[in-house]
Amino acid sequence: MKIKDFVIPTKISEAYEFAHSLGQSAYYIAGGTSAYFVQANAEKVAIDISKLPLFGITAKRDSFRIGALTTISDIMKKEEDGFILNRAAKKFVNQQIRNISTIGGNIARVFYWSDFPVVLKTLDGKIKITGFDSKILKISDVFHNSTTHKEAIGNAIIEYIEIPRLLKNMGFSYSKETRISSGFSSATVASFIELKDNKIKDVRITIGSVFIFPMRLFELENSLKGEPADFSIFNKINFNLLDKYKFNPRDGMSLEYCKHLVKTRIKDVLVESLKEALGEK
Amino acid sequence: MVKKKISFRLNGELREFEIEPNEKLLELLRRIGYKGVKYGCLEGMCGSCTVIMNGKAIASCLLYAFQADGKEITTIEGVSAGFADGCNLPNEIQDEFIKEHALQCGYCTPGFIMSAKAMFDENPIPDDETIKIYTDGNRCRCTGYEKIWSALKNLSEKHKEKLRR
Repeated sequence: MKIKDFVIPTKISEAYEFAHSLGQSAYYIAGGTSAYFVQANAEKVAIDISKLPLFGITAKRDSFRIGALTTISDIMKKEEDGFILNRAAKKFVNQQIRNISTIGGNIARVFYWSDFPVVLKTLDGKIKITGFDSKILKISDVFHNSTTHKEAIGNAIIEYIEIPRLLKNMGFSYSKETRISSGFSSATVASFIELKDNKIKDVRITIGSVFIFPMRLFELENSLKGEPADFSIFNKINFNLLDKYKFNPRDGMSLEYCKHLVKTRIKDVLVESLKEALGEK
Repeated sequence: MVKKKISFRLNGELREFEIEPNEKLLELLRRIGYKGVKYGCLEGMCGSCTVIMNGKAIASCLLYAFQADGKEITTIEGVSAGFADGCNLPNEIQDEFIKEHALQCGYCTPGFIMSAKAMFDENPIPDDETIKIYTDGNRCRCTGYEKIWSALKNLSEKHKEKLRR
């Protein structure tokens, strides 16, 4: 991408006015790391939104609000009971990029290797969009597929992301496979389990990187709901349910290897989630 | 292309720069003579171009120069322990690198020093895991990493000793 000019608004309304007047050539930049992946010959005017007041993590009773401009390293450093986004932040590229990349940027432009869309789909929280058309959207609606994502976020500025606090009887786990420590993800898997009366009340599984857009595995989830909270149930998972998905293996992986990797990681994250829900870790 | 003016504090001194909108911070710094900031992969993966912005290590190859407007930037040229006999004196991190032989060709060294400086400024006694996290964006193709990590662990131990006394 070629930046032919830039503006640095300090108010949200100002940023929207710039975007409106610039039309197609406008390009929001917060950390700016995703700009690297935009078509090299595209000429854009950068709207540097990094000075807008959209920072910080606020703890609420049952949830956390994360300002869209909060950097990944600030998320990584946040330690509080029930806050689990830091687990994914620790595996995010490298320190130099964690220090400038923002969570808003990571979810506003979704690449297939993106980390946080996988996590947020699994946690199923909310996103607040700023501006005149301010609205609160469910993450499951926004990240349903690339079309719903584009329609929901498009050229809007995200104000914050709200994720539920992990409570007792709940567990979450996240796995990211890379070929080198700071490489792009080859397969990202996240899972969430909630128990009630020693049975699985709710379970969510999301896979990224091996698909063009992160996907929840609803059929697989449904097959586990109501099952006893016992590790042996994961040996009975019907992985044939994955056959209907179109895998997109990367980094030289064969389709067979890619599917095997995903199956293994699904089991791993489910075991870890159940351990946490049972209070074993 | 329109040239624009920005200003930021560079190694403690407030300065104004005329830049092209598309110019990266790395390009600007080298253009004005700060050659300790190295070209590497140009995609934020190798750490050779690491500088400190507002206390945090960042990849200057990914950042547009205008994103530094109003910020505080420190390069390897700005972290010496003083000046004597026409030379910059090594700081405590550089001293440990020398003692541990933690460099060979030296190309990655400024980047490692800057990542380590940001880490020690924030946490003078980092544990092994913290050292690995804070330097996970720096690549060394000569020495490997053991000697570099040893140097940083030694300094952490020294800081711990100092605090005990």
